[in-house]
Amino acid sequence: MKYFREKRRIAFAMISPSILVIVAINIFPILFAVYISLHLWSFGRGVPRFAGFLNYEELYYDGRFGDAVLTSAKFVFFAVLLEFVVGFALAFLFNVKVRGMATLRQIAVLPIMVMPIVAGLVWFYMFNENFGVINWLITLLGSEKVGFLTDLDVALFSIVLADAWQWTPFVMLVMFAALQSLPEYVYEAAKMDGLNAWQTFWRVTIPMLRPSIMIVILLRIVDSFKMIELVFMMTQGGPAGRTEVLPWYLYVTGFQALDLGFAAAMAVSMLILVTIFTQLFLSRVGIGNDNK
Amino acid sequence: MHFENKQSWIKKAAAMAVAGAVSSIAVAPASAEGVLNGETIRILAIGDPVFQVMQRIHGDLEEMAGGTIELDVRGFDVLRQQVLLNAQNDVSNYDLISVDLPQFGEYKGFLVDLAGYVESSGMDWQDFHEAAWTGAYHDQMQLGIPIQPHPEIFAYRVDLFEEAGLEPPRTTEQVLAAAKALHGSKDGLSGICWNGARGTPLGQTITMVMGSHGLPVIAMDAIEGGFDLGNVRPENMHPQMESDTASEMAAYLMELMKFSPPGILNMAWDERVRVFAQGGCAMTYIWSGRSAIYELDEDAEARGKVSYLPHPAGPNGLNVSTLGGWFLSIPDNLPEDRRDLAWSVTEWLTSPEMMAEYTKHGNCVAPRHSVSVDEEVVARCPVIPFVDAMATNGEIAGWQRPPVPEIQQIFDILGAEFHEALAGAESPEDALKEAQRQLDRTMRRAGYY
Amino acid sequence: MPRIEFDNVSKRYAPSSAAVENLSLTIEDGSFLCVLGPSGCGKSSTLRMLAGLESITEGEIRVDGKRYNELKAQSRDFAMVFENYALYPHLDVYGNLAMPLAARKMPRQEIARRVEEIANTLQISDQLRKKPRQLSGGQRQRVGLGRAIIRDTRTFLMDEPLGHLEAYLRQQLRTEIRRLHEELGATTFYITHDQEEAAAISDRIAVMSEGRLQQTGDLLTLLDNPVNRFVAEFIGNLPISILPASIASNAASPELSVGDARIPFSERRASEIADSTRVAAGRLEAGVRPDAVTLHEESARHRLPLRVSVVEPVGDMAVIVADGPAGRLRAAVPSDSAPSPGNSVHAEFDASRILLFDGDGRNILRKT
Repeated sequence: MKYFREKRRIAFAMISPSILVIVAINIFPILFAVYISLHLWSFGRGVPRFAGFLNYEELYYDGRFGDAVLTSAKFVFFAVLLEFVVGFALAFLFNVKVRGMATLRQIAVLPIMVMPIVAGLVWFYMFNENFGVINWLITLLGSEKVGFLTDLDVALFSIVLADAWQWTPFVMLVMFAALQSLPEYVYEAAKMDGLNAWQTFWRVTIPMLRPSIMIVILLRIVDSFKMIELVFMMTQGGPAGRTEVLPWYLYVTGFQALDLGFAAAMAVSMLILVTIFTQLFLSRVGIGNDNK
Repeated sequence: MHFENKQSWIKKAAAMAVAGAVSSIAVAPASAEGVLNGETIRILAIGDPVFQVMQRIHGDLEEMAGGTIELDVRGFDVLRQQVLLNAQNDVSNYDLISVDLPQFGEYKGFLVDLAGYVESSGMDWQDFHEAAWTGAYHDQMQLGIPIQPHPEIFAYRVDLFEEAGLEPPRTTEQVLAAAKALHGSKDGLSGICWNGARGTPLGQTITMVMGSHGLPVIAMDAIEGGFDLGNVRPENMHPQMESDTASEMAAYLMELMKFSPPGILNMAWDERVRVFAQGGCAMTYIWSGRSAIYELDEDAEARGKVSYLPHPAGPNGLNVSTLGGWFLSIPDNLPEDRRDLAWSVTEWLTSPEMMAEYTKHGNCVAPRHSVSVDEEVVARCPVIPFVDAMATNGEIAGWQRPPVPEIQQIFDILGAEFHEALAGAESPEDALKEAQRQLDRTMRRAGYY
Repeated sequence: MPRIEFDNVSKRYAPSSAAVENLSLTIEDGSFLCVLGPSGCGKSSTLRMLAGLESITEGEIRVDGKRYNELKAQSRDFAMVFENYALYPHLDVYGNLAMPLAARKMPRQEIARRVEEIANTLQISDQLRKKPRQLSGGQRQRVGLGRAIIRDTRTFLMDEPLGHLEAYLRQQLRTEIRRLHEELGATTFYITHDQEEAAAISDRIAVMSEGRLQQTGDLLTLLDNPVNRFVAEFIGNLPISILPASIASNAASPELSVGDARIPFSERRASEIADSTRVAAGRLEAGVRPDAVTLHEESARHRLPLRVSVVEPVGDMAVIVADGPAGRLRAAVPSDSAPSPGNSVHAEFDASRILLFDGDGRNILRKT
């Protein structure tokens, strides 16, 4: 008994540094955010005052917060949809064994390396109505300029496009790797079983790629939900709030207005939203669910 | 110590400046007797032209100063966070910090009163534009020395106006008439450029244009010729976005939309000047210092064809331009033994010679009368005498952007809510109403009333 | 029912190296053909060309006289069983079995009925909801077989289907495969490197080596009447011994000398040798299977003296490995009469079972 107790103590001593690191890096900031969110806390304006759930209450009644949640949802939906469909198609394209494809593939993934803030700047100038290349081309073709960043119905999609430009290659890369890892023999079996190309795609390829598909979609959802750089560089939430995603509203209240309590309440709500969503997503679509 | 020397040097320099003889920094003292004398000065700066110039000529500056100049240049939001965090330190990490005019309300609790230094060093404070000098005067304290204060004014293309037979627009009515006449009269020419982008840019436009319609966005006390920005009390914090003035302002901005260039809803700061510079619009609201963008660019279409006016007045308003821009201040957690040095550097950096020097590198700002008459400075920056004249005529003021801690929230709320109206997603009335509601909530939340 | 013909078929992956060369082979309808050969002999390429998984470089494959070269694998209507089972890892047993039917858009109820039927036949009814990775190797290959027989095809291609299984499972399943072949009246093209399996399961064995078809026939033919030294060496449970030999043509009666042994030949066999134009080439080798050797203590003119090196017991028999100046010889003797290592022995050959190969390895005594 004594021996085992001793062993356990040693084991605990061995893992305690990693526990400490996890607490310091993961747990503490979250707890601190919760703590701040319970206060009226504004940078440089006296001491924080405890406010209970006042910040959350205000958040609940804040129409702008609700709008931002909706805008975020829209953005995530369209961005991930576009990135996935195009990235998936590209992965198939690049899977074709043609000379030069490897080089093309390497070029295609370059946008991933670009800093998001730089991508935002580049797309801001591309879409700009007075200096932008795209509008210049459009007028050259004799059409009216498009308010990529100012049209109420277009702006969000311009951001979606910029995000897709940057992250479609990521989807492509993951799906490409997944495709490469599919065993050849299964396709031979499919041929011998008499499946045509369409049936092979839907009955063999897609189901076998499913775990990778789910992971890449989940990663893109979580990541695009956190997207702020493009909005910061391209629209600052305009026109009329149509591109005000949650992280941007959080930035405005937390880092411009310096209303830390309110911003922290927003951050905590955002965390809860994402956590609930990912848990639902994981359990519903069932990654690694054997008996499904 | 250097006190006598400096005073005489400044006087001499000022005299030379008035004589138009300050042509080069070569007349500045050599490094041996430089202001730093081997010491290091730490400045927390903004990424605006005057400090960007300092970065560009950093080597020369250090040689002139005879010491090390650490310039920590930050963006607007980060700078503010840095200043506020630094204020909570026991000992300041910076000798000097740069302060935007509307920020004095928020910062005044932790800045050193410079009045004593001004007096003892014999700084010729009357050489500064009055609005610039008093912009840093709060609660009977001089909290900063102007280094790059400049007003947001109104620029228009003289050539286009003459061609069309239009009067220089001093009222909003004239602006709209001229904009209507010129908009689309040439290929790619719009009536007017301004800050229409969501958030801070539009928020600033609203506060300033509301000012030129006659009211600040919060209920400050009216005083002779304007409003009292040096003494804002809690009862002054009530927002006024449901006033008639606000409605007039809103109507004016909605009208402007018709004569604005494409992309106006995303246009801000330098972009409006660039579009104006390349001939994309006939008029623009502009921070005067930014006129360097076309005045110093030989390829700019607008170069040499621009005249300047204060903000055009609304129906019941004033021809008054908003002063903004940057001051040098000393944080009060800076140890006593470093304050003399900080002051000396402030004095040097805001001297007429240095101000003339800055204009050579793309900073068309001169908040001193003596520099504003320097022919070479004027040749480089035609806007400077216009601003000088406005300053003399009392057409520059700072109250439009009230120096209260909530100023950034005010900009954000106005700039977000009224963007709905500009974009056509909401009526201007509803947008103003919603802005009023949010501002009211903000003020209550802050505990003013 | 199909009759499959390979007509001078070649497969080259690179211009210079042929995986299969000039293969001509016919598989009669309803027969069970085993292609036997060491790995890399081209047997898999042959099967894959037939399946449509590999293109045909030269020649023609015909099924019932119809050229199949350009026909897609999906359209050939062959069912295949793979060495590594090739089950769909994402589908359970039911899904795997149902796939060929689903591909043909069979109604769900019909599919369910067929799957149940097949699962019963193969005794995997209780595994239908399991994923392949939850099954043992034997169960997996049962599913693989089920997937092949579930549809109406009568031609089965089997690529070493038992290769990855344990010995007792191999025996069990090969019986089953043969049974299914009989019951379905199928034509089966089966690949293996295991001669015992080939003998047990097939009607006819085709031996391949280095891309070429060497010989076809049943196991006995291959054992006793191999076309060449390769087949002789490859076929047979115990390795054949190859010793240098020559014909003593000056003797009164024809004699074959193997080492120091002078073995009398019957007139008929001698004349066969004499007829062979190959003898002139000079070098001859004698092949002797271990069971065609007896060991004696006494020397004789027709016996080869050797010294025993190793004794390998194999059940109630022992394989004696003995060496002499002529080379190494293996002999199978009853265990109780086995000599010990170091003993001198004299080997006597069953003259009727001696094989003779010429310099190119051809069996010059082959009966045709």
